[in-house]
Amino acid sequence: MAAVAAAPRPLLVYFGRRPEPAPPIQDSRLKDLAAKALEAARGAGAGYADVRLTHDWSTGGGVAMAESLAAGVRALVNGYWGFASGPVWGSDEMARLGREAVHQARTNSLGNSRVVELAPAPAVRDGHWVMPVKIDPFEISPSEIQDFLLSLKIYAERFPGTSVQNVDARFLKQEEALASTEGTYCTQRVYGSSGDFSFNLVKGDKGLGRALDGLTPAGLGFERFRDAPLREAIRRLIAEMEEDLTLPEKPVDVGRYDAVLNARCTAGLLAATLGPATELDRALGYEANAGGTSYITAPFDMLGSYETGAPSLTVMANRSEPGGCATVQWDDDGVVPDEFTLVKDGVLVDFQTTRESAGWLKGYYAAHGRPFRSHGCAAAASAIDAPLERTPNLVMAPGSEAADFDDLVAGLTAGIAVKDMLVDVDFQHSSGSGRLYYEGSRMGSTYEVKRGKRVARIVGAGILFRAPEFWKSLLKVGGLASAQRHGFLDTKGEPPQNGCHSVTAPPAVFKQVTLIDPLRRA
Amino acid sequence: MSGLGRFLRLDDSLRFLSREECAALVQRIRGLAQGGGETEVDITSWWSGELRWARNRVSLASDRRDIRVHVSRALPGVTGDGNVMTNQLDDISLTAAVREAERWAHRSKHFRTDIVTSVPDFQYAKPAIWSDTSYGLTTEERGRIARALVDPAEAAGMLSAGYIEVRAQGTASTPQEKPLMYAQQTTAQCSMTVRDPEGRGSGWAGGSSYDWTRIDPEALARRALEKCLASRNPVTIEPGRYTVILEPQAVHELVAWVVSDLNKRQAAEKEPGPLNAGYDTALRLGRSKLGLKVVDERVTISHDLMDPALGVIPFDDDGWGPYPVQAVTWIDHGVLTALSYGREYAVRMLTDNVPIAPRMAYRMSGGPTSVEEMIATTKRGLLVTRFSGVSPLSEGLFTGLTRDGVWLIESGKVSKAVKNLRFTDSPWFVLNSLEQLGEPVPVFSPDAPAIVPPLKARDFSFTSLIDAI
Amino acid sequence: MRRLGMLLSALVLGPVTPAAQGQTLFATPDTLDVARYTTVEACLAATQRVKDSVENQREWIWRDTLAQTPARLAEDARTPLPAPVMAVARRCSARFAAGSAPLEDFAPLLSLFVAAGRDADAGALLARRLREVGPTADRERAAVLDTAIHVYLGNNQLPVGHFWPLPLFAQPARLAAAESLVTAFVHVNSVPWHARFDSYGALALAALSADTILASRAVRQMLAVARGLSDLERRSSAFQSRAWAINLGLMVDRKAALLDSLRHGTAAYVALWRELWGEVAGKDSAVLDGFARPIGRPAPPIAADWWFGRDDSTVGRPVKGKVNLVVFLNPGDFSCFEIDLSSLCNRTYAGLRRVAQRFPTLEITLVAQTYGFFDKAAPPPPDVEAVLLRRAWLTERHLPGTLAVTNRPFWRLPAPDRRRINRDVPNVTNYSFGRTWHVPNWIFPPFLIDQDGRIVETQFRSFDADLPEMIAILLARQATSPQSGDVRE
Repeated sequence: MAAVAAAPRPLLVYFGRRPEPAPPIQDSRLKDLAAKALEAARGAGAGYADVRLTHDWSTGGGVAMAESLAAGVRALVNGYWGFASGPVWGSDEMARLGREAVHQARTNSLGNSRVVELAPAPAVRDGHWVMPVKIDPFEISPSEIQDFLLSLKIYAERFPGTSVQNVDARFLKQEEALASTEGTYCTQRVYGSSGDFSFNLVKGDKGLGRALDGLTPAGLGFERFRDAPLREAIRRLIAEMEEDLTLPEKPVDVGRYDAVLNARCTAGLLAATLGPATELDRALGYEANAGGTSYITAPFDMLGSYETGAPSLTVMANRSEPGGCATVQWDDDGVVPDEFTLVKDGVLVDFQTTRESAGWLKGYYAAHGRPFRSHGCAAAASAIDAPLERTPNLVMAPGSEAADFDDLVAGLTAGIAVKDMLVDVDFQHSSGSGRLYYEGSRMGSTYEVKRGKRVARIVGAGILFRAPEFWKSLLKVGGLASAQRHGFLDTKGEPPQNGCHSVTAPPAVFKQVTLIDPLRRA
Repeated sequence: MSGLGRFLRLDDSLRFLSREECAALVQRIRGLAQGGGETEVDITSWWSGELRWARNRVSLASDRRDIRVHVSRALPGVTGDGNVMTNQLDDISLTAAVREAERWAHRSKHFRTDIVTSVPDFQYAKPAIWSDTSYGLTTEERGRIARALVDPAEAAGMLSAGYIEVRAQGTASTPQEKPLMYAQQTTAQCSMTVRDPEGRGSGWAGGSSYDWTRIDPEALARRALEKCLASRNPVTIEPGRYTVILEPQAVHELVAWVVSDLNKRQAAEKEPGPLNAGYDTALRLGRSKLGLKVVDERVTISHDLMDPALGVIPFDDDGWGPYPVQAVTWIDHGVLTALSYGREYAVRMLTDNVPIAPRMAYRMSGGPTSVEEMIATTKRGLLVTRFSGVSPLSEGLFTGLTRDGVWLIESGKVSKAVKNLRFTDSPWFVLNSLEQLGEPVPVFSPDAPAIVPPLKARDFSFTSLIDAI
Repeated sequence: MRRLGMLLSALVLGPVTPAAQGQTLFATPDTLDVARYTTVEACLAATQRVKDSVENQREWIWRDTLAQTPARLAEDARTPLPAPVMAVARRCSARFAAGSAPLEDFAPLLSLFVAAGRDADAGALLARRLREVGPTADRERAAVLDTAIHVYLGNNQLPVGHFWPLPLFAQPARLAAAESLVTAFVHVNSVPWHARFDSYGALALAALSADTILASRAVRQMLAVARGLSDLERRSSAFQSRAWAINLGLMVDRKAALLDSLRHGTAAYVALWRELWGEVAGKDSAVLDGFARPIGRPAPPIAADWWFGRDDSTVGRPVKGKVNLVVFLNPGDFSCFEIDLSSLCNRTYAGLRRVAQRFPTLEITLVAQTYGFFDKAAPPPPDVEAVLLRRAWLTERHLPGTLAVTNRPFWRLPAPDRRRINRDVPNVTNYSFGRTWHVPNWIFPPFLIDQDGRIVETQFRSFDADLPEMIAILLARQATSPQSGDVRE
């Protein structure tokens, strides 16, 4: 009976006439199935084609358990892309998708020409990879997850004055097979998990609401709940809240202040500004009708010279860090992503690329003696969706000194310190506002700092920033031990697709940040 | 042969599940249930034809389709809170989904009684939500249309990016003890952004409808190009309070939030906000501003699903049984006359069987003044194409950004393009500071149709400049 | 891969779950290995989950078909936790030892040990925790004892305004242990009177079904606390809010004397109550108001727009010359249709039915009113709703007696608000006797009325406790000649 509760539910695949249960993704028959799609696409005239088969499982978001299959074919004909997808894994359907993808591409390849040069990528010969997680959340009983979440609630409520508002966990698992007409065939299994634990603390007639910090999306299994020091984190958070409740509250005094931002805020600002701004397709106008463009307005000119931030700012990107939300072995072009630098000592040195967008940098790479390759940023949420260029995991280099948030605060003569922020940025990912205001639950806190000590809580504040200046105003960066990783969900494309990437950043001090009252009208 | 067989057909005449197929599917799923009780099934199946372009070339053309089957089981005496989703239609997958739903029902301790009164039967309207033209807009036609839209921008040396989509969806839900409710609808959208290659200007235009023939793509392309050209090299102006002339799209981006509030009667009664009138200690209940004048008397916000341009799915069910969506006038000449609510509120608080269904589709009344006349009668003001990123701050106050064209008006004439600005203001204030209104037109709103006028309002608060063009 | 294969062959061959058969409709709860759990809270969560699922299985059938007699309740109170629940608690708690577990886990671990039936370990843990408390740390000692009392009494306790985050599983309640803890608790300095009162009350309530001697003892001690208070203390809201508990306590403690006085007449009964209230609440009329029930007053006639289930329409109700029970159904907006099947509502129905069966000459009048809707539908006219109410109460729930339904008066907020505002039902107003007393909004407030038409009692622990004895006494008593005027307050 335990096997029934734990094993995945089988879905059906039409290898031949009769359906059979969907096998694990490494089954060789799936390779044959994929080949049929490519055959049909080639036969219809594709210069290049790839096919994705995905098997997705997820929990959360109003659905106790969701499981689905999807298949999608992408075809390139004379520089034009076509795509077709559907929910069936079957031989006939593969052929239909292959032909339809080419039909879509062809219909738009008449008339005006378009050139696509895909950066070279070695073909993957029967690769297989599984994201190493300790506990597959779909292989354990949901009751164990339920017990764990309830146990956190019971634990937190042993502290007087606490009441838990929300506790939940969401998981996803995806098995994907990818094949291309260049001979690539690879299969991989990835996981994702995220959660929420928020509660209120009431002491007398004062109260605060907060949420645990470390439960943002990540490429981890159930171990990120079960084996994480969450009880310690709850105790620490309660202690912080108790301390905060002893501080007086002050309204915001608008002006410019040096500001210490904790790791989560720094990561959030990076995710809102430099992350999207360095997507090459976005910078060239491929999202102009949707999310917008980039403040790196002349990508080819600015590459190598544009100062995006202070010399202490270095941002690297990868899709390999264990636990990263965007971590994979192969991207959706079949490329092994590399670790690369986007910003070095403040200067823009590269862009996020796929095989197609790397093609736009061919000349630049050649002129600078750099390899002509994609950085592996292609991603599709599932095979129903066409791959897009998506942000990989970002890592902001820590400072050389070992300083954490409290140390940075201690080093501030006068200014503010910020622990949580809701970022709102314009459609070039440049000018933005950060909402710090405290509404009784989930938001907070912003502190007034005097002579290295937090002396009051500032209520109802916000900041205004312009990304280029903001990152140049970076004064100090926290040390390696103070860096934290947070996962960010975002949407891109038309039609919109969900994506997720991690950002690791330390706390940091910024010079003369503009503090405003966000509720004040002109 | 299972419904899955449909998808194995090589023709593409059946791209989503019909009423009959959904009914048969529901029958099958109910037949797989074990342990009595009820089985609720919701099925959504869709097909989408998409075409996207950027930098004057099509970047991707797609044909996609998918299904979502949601199953939840209410066992005798126990209702779990798990609904299970699969996108496969064969017996084994569905059986497994039903078993999973039963395990979830078993896991939670939500009780219900076996006393179930019959929810009355209702008549449902047949609004215009399906268009054969939209469903039949072929890949070839989409391609031809896109090229015709791009060519003028390219000829003018600008860069066009845009998106065309036609989509058909079948939605089936199975309220307890009632026959299957089903609706099939199409949505079509076309939008584009034309930008100066040096990034000195940007213009946008868009349209959406269930019926492709109601969208005039060429007119949209012309407008987007004109705005792009006219918006180049914008100058900086001081933030502050301005008289604004908002084009219908910009008005929609504010008023949609108003409509969202109008859809929440209980929140208006209980929570502080623009529609709340406090707590009545004598009656011991919260009061909303129903019956009070809340905006300018020229404003009427209503929705009639039988309006050929405003059709929506004619039924809804929020857990207390299905009911028909009917016409509503929320704000009548400035007076708040209705707020939407669900069936439980209707039965318990109003002893009514039919609630006022919440919905985001709406029509806002207008006036006789054209945008040109508004400009001509403005001494100093700003003309805004649209807003972006409008988000709530607190109790009716919002922030957002202008986008794709802002112009300064001086002495009755558009004088220069200006840089984009961030605003901090409230749609409620805007609707109370109206000067002039124009003719309502359909706006770009693929999720729920809206007909909105342009307007001129006083004292709109722009709080800072932004860099983005 | 192999596991998947096994699973698949099971599915292909036939259905996995067994055919529905009575109470084995659901698969048994997941048997994941809780021995792997490392925290006490996770064990408590697992125990709670298994308990919920066992209860789901057991109680979706109307409990009422399994007679909910006092004997059965007493038996339930003495029955240990269901075996699967104890087994989970035991298995999960195996890794925790009373001697070595960190004392910061005291409260949850105590609850877990009790759930697992590891009473000796629970005692040892408690002793260890108490030793750790300094000799002068009164507040801490009181807190530890209070926690332990709650754990030992399980869910069988008065809601004393505690926010209790732990699931509690003491079944049966550990009464002897709890009693000695209560004794220690009340002797700690600095424990305020209401905490002492509540601890005796919780003990009494838990013991009522299982150990009447202990219960009586606890009740007496609880009442002694009330008697020992100053007039100032009695004017506090803490005292006022415990009036109902004091009343129940007096009912239990002085039952023999009260029943005896009732044999002499309603006036004697009422007089004894006044004396008892005086002992416990003092002479301050403002305080006594909180205790005042309209006992001894003439029962107002019941008015109705529709009568169901009666033969003779000329007889006014309550019926003169007979013993009457008037029961108010849903006097507020509280609807008892939607509560779960094993609930208080259903047990109350059963009790009422038993009373009717035992006393065929008892005249029962059920008082109900319309709301403008019934369950999930709004019926057009009130007379249709009245018929639905009759069906719900008399037919489906088999409530005995005559049903009096009032077309509840209401008004509407003016358009466009139009919300229905219910007015008071005349029967409720009449039986509320003015501002100092009102028909309680809780489940089925009953009024016992003697043959002279005087209200005898309105507060009972349940329809099975005290009420049958009082009815029997009234029936045995002869109708006395009517007394002039009201019984004085």
